[in-house]
Parts: sequence; structure tokens; C-alpha cells
Amino acid sequence: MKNAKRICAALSALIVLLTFASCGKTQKRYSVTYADTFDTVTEFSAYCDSEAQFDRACEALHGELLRLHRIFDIYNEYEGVNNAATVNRLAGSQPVEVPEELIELLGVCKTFYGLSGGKLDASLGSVLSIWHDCRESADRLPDMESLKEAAKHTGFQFVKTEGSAISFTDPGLSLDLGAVAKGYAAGKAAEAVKRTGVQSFALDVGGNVVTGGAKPDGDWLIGVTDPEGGLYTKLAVSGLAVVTSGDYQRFYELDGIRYHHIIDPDTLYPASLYRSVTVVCESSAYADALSTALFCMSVQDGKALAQSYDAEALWIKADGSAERTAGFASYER
Amino acid sequence: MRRMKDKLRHDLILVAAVVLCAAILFCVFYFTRSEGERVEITLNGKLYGSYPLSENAVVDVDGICTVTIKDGETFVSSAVCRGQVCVHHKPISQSGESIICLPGGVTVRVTGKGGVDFTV
Repeated sequence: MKNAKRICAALSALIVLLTFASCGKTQKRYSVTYADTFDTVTEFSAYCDSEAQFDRACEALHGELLRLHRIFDIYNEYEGVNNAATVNRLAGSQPVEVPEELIELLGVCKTFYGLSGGKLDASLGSVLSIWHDCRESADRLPDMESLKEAAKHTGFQFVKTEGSAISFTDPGLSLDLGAVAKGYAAGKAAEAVKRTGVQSFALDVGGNVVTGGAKPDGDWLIGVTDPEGGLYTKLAVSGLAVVTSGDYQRFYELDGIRYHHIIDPDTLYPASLYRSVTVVCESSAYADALSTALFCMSVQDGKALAQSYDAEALWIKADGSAERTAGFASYER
Repeated sequence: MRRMKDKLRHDLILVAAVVLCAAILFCVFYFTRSEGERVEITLNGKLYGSYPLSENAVVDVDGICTVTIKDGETFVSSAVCRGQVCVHHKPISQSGESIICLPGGVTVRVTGKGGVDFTV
């Protein structure tokens, strides 16, 4: 009888303990999806005390993404702002005053243009627009002569910035910020979320993931797509950005051959060294720029470049094998 | 001495009972924590529909594309866009994986506990 009482007491204590333990988790996970910026889908998840707090974070996030989308858009101009499209239209004939974010992003592009030996080239707009048109129609390949002619009007030596103004010394040049704009914007959007007081969150702007503080039960778990289907590996990260550039993300097929969107500035054709490159580093903008640059570089050169930014990288090759920087495995689960 | 032995025996029984209860509770929480993976389809950022991954189904998403759920996997079986990137995407089955049809603004995502939060 005495034992039965003891057991009952112990069980009661256990139940009370479990009840209090579950009551301690006051933050709930909220998620939202947007499809109106950067020609891609944005997903945002956060742990918040209330739906109202989550709504404030969403408002800050979405507002920042919309604002930056308008600044970096190369296809449309908007009233009240000189954006990348305005620059492409006018900078060949006159300096164009632009928002500071465009100057800052161009600075990142210029730095990586030099560090990657021109493999990351945001001045490749004239070439990329030809590929873009072909991808849209999905029924033809670009004419090599046209690509070579367009390539004459590329190179950062023709892009001048003075204060908040941009000009081109080659009127045929045009910018394409697609390789870095999403990563840069995702980083800025994450800062906007943090300013609302939300710390435990992650956002995914079309494959550019930025994680804030950890989840209540640990790190955010990010899957790296296996180009052949499923997941290649899983990464446990918090406070870091993860970006993948892959040949399966945007492409079209012609006569059974796949032509993807990452163009090697030297061959003017889709880079074919790897199926995908994944980069983990603190800066979302750098992670985005690095993943594109590394996609077009040898593993040896890529490792040196990644190291200079404290970034870790994973290269998945066509035969399914992989190369990693020394510290990449420390994120893998 | 005998009383001491009895007390020790009773204490051991008590500890064993608590451990057994904890194990039972753990199993209950562990094996019933997931409602099973679901396929969530969003159109222009808004939830279009949510379907169990375990039940075969064919979903017409507003005439933009067709999502098929078959044998525990899901894929975009047809789409009206020219690029057909989403149609070429391999079937997905793990929580956190997604297929995106950019021109149509459609996202197909497998959700459920135990998977990844996002996929790059």
C-alpha cells in the first residue's frame, strides 16, 4: 500500500514535470509565402510570441524585399526611383543617380569580378539577355556570333561610379544583377526582421536561405538538393546563409540537351564543370556571389576564394561525387 | 538489516516504475508526434490545397499545372509554361523538399515533422 502511494506520487510528479515542460514553450512557429519579388518564391518561418509579432516581422520583410526588388529590377522601371533598368537605359549617355543599395551591390559585384578572374560578371547583361530570350522561347539556341558581338560590350572597366551616380563608358553595356541581388536582398530582409525583435527565423528567397537565431529545439536544418533527386545532404546552421547554384534550377532543353542559366563569361555558354555548388557563410550577399563564381571556377581556385571569405563550399559533380572545403562537413548531419 | 534490504528493494521498484513510465510516455510522444507528411500547394503565395502524401491524387492547380501524388512521392506531371522546369524536377517525398513553378507562381512542398526546414 505504501509502495503504491509512492508510485502514485512519483507518477504525479512526472506528469506535473511534463506539463510544465510543455508549457515553457511559449513561442509558436509561423510561416508565410510570397511570390511577388525577384521572379521567385520567398518562404519565411519564425518563432514568435504571437501572431501579431509575426505579422510585424512579415511586414518588415516583405516591405524590404519589395523595395529592393524595385531597385534591382532590370526589366521594369518604377516611378520615383532610378533602378537597374534606368541605369541600363541611360548610363551609356549620362551619369544616373541611384539609391545607395545599388551602389553597394555594384561594389560587391566589382569586388567579386576581380577576385573570380571575371567569372562572376554583373556587366554580362548583353550576353545574358540573349540567353534569357532563348530560355523564354525554349525553341532555339543563341547564335554564337551574336553572343561574341554582345560580349564585346561587357567588363567592369566600363562601369564607373562616382558618389551615388553610375555611368558606362561603353553605351552597349548593360547590368544583370541576377547572380547577387537575391542574396543581397535576403540579407537586408533578415536585418529588417531582426529590427522587429524576432530573432529565431529563417527565410528562403528562391534558394537563398538566411537563418537567424536557432529554433527552440536547435539549429535550422537545410537540405541540399541532389541534382539527381532527393536530398544530397542536410546542414544544421544558425546565423548563417546557405546558397546553392545548380544546373537544375533554371534551364530549358533542346534536342535532349539541357541549357541552364549560369553562363561562363569565357565560353559564353552554360558552365559545365559541376551540377551544383553550395556555399555556407555569414553574409548572404557573399554566399550568393560565391556560389555563382565557384560554379565557373576550378575547385582549387574556388577553395582559395571561399577561404578568403571564411566560407565553406560543396561541389557536386556530374558523376555524383563531391568536393568539400575543409570545414563544410562540420555543418552536415 | 532486513528492513534496509526491503527499503532498497522498494526504492529499486520505484525507480524501475518511473523509468518504465518515462519510456512509455517517450514512445507515445515519439511515435504519435507526426500527423504524416502532407503536400502543400501554394498559388501566388496563398495556400491552394493540402493533401496527404500517403494518398494518391491528381490536383489541377487553376489550369496552370497538374500535381500528382503517387506512391508516397509528388511531382508536377504537366504545366502550361514553356520552360517545363517544374515538370523535369525529380519527384519529392521528404519533408522540406519543394518544387517551384516560377512562371505560374506555384509551389509544391512536402511538409511534416522530422524533415528539413528549407531546401537549397
